[in-house]
Amino acid sequence: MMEPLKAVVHLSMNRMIRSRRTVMMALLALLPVAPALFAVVFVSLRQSIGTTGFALATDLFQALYLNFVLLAITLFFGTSLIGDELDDKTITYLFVRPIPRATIYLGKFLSGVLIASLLIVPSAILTFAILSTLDPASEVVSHLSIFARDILILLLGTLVYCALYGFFGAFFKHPLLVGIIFTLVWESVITYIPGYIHRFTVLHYLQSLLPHASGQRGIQELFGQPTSPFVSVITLILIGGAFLGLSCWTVARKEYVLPS
Amino acid sequence: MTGAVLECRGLSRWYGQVIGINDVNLDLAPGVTGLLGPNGAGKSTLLKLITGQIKPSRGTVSLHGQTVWDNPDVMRRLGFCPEQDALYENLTGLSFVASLARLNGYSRAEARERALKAIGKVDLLDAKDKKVGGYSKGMRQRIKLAQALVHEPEVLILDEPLAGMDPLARRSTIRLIREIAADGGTVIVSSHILHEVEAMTRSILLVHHGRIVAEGNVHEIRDLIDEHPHRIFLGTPEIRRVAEALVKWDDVQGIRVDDEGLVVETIRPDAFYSRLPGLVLEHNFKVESMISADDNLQAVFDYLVK
Repeated sequence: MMEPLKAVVHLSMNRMIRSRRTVMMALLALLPVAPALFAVVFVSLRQSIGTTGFALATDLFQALYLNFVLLAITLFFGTSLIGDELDDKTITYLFVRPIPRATIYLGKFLSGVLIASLLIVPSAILTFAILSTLDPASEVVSHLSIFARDILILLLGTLVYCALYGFFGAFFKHPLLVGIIFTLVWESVITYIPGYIHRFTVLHYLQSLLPHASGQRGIQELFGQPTSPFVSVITLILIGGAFLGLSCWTVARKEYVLPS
Repeated sequence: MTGAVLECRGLSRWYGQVIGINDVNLDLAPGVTGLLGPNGAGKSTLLKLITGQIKPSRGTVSLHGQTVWDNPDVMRRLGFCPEQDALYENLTGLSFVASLARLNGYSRAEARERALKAIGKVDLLDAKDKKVGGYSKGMRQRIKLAQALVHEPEVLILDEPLAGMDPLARRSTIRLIREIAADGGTVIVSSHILHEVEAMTRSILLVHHGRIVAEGNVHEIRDLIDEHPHRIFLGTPEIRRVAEALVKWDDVQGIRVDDEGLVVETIRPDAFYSRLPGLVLEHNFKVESMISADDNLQAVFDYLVK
């Protein structure tokens, strides 16, 4: 199974790396770098920003990386895992090879996760590095473990959201539309509804893993208490595994009829 | 056991209310079999069923007794050249074929070696390092054929493989298909153009409205076709020069100027096809495409099913 899987990953990566979508997503991933640069320039002009570089980094992490960059990039990559092959009518080349369809999907999923991670994580590191120049070196070192945990949260989020949006891509005819509605309505709005319903969002468990009390969680903190890190990690792994399994099952059974 | 490589039994497939293929029974043995029918007859649906891209609504399709759908053992023995003009545009010809060869389980080095061999068979070695997005229509057809050949399959299924090829490429592709069959391979070629199929095989299946309406020798169909003039479109920027040369041929009954070329009417298409490359080379004409605009096949089918 490993050799065919590696071959699918190789082919998919080859294709994705050169696509316009990846270029657009790379630009989107770099969006949080702009406010970080702005803050550094502001300080260099002897203006006070009224906070530390680390505090600003944690705010950017939650406001932009977790709530926007992660969702947007995994949405576009996840829904297109199968969709791109269908739109370009190239899926035929994959389905007439001696590889189980589930393995083909798994390979495409891994390549999607890999590319999305390669866009999101370096951007987060760059933002952290830029903002760290505002703090004393000794403080930066003490914040490294917190930052490393942030990166692990991003990686876990990439895995789970790619599995979720990948399922949309495998199951629905218009996955991007479904994904956008899901993201805007479920993942965003539900999080702010009082009660326990927010526990049915992926974002809730990712936010529960945040190591820093950001003070910027605002209205959300009024409505819901975080889940313990252990339960959050287990829940996220289960959600990701369930949707990945469902996607493999769907691709193995579903007919993808291309128009003649 | 019938000794057939590929068997279809009561094979039907419909899309909602629309019938794609209806109650098809087939036994295909080694050699070339031409699948002939007008556009929309059900040829592509039949090929999609045979290659396991879609599931039958009723009946079975099997290769050496094994069902086709999501069956890696079957796929290992099968090569497919799809009709649609779809490729991984950003890859070079070599990486396109080699990447797909790796999906057949070959190591990187072996996949590359096999890809080079397959690309050589379709005469594209000169363009192997160019991106397929920059290939002409004929080159795209040939690289599609190369990916189908790369693992030397026992059964080769080609959906309209000659579409868009120039005359020389058509000739070499036809020769290649015949060689594969001569080596013991089973080849199924779909086309809506009788003369293309006839150049490859005598054994044909006529598909119309989702049914096999006739099968066997091509001669009888040929006789019916030849009662009608055959129309061929030649895409060329040198419309006047080419027309002047063609009008001298006895078998050319008429020439009509189209937007980007000529539509030639001939009563002996075989003779026309075999003489045209010589004419092009002799006068150094620039002929960019050649398409059979023949709709007489439809008339023959109408005659057959009445």
